[in-house]
Amino acid sequence: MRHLWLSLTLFLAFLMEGTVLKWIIPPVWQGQVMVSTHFTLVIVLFISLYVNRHLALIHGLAFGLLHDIVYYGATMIGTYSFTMGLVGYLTGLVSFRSRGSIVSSMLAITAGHFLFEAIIYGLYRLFQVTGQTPEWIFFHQMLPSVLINLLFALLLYVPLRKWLESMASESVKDE
Amino acid sequence: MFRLFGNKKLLMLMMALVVFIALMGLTLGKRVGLTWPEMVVKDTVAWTQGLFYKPARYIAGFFEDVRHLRRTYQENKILRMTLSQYARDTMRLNMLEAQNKNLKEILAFTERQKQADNYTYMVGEVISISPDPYSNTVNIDLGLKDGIKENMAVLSVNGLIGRISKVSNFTSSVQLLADMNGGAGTSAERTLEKGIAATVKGKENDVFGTIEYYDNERQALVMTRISQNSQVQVEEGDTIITSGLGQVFPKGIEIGKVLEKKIGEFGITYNAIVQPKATDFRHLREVLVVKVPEVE
Repeated sequence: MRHLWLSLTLFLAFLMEGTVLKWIIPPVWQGQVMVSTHFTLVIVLFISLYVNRHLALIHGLAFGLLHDIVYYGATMIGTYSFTMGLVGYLTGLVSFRSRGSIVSSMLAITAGHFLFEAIIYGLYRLFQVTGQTPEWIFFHQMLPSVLINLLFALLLYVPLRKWLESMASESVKDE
Repeated sequence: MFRLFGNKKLLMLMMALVVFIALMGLTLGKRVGLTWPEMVVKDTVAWTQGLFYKPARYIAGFFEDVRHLRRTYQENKILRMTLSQYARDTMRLNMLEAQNKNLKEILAFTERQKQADNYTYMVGEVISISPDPYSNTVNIDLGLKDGIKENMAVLSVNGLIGRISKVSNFTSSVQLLADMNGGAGTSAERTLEKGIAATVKGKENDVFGTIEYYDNERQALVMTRISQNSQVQVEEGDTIITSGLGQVFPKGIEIGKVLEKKIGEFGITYNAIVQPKATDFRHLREVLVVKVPEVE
């Protein structure tokens, strides 16, 4: 019940990704340079850093699966679910020892996001969905997407961290 | 690394990998229809997304309109000119249509042949566009209940934009032309499956080819297998339309303009680089789904 609001926030971010943002982001960034917004992933990474990695794993799997089903066109189901779950969990492992400053958490989010993009590309390359070279993908899709999502993470950093940490301390008290 | 995980967790990861790879393999490629849980989830989410997409579109549209206000006068003048031309064309069209009908009667065409070019267009509104840069999927608010089937052609006001790839009860997914990003490294079935039979407007009996894939780097479609032997050849600036020979897409839909002609892979055919007419795949409002009539 305590996580209901969290799930709702994630769902809202999920809805935004596919609808409102296409109209906010300038068209120049949606031609050859493709900015893709993965706000659910950013929030999942925040959960993994400030609450715990198991919650991030569950939310990553669930919202990844939702993404897979809703946008299931010519590709396959399971890529986003697997990748978001895994990346959420791994990011939680890395930052386990120190709950650091803004710099270290941004670094963790950037690393997590790059890992996410790399696994997605790897899977699509494996299943021959895409034939693009890694260099082209890196400069035209990964780098711009990571930068924009990092900007979003910075924007959310203060309110989201406060909220998540209060949630984490509550769950500690309960136990 | 392994101490970090522990035996049990490593096993879990392996299990997850196996399950997900199996799931991906099963859902990839040719698959007929969706199962009901997929449909329910998709339709429910799509309905909620519709609540967001439309207002966002209107607001963005308002600012766009303000930007276009300056051009309105010029545009109006051009439109009035085209309108008078349109009226003349309609007159001619009516005449030709009547004549065509008569001739078909005389030549004793069957009912199926007569109805073959009588397409119906259904207007669908865009609900959401996938944020995934690799699969350019657009969801629209027409589904099985509206008679939508897989592989129907989808147009925007500018021209061909894609085909229906998956249908659920109230919504369906459109695979955009930009998603045919084949080229090297993509499996043969995937590109072959999606090839569009095309021809050149005004040279319908001479030039044939297949729109094979979308070149991401050039942002253009590549039309392949154009014969070098025919008398009339494809030239730069020609308009490419669907030929209807592939049996999937109806004929006569505008695809784009030829940017460049090149010698094909084995030197015996031509390739043409085609600039798609509907370029802005990311800001779609309404789309048209073409229904080809079926007569039993």
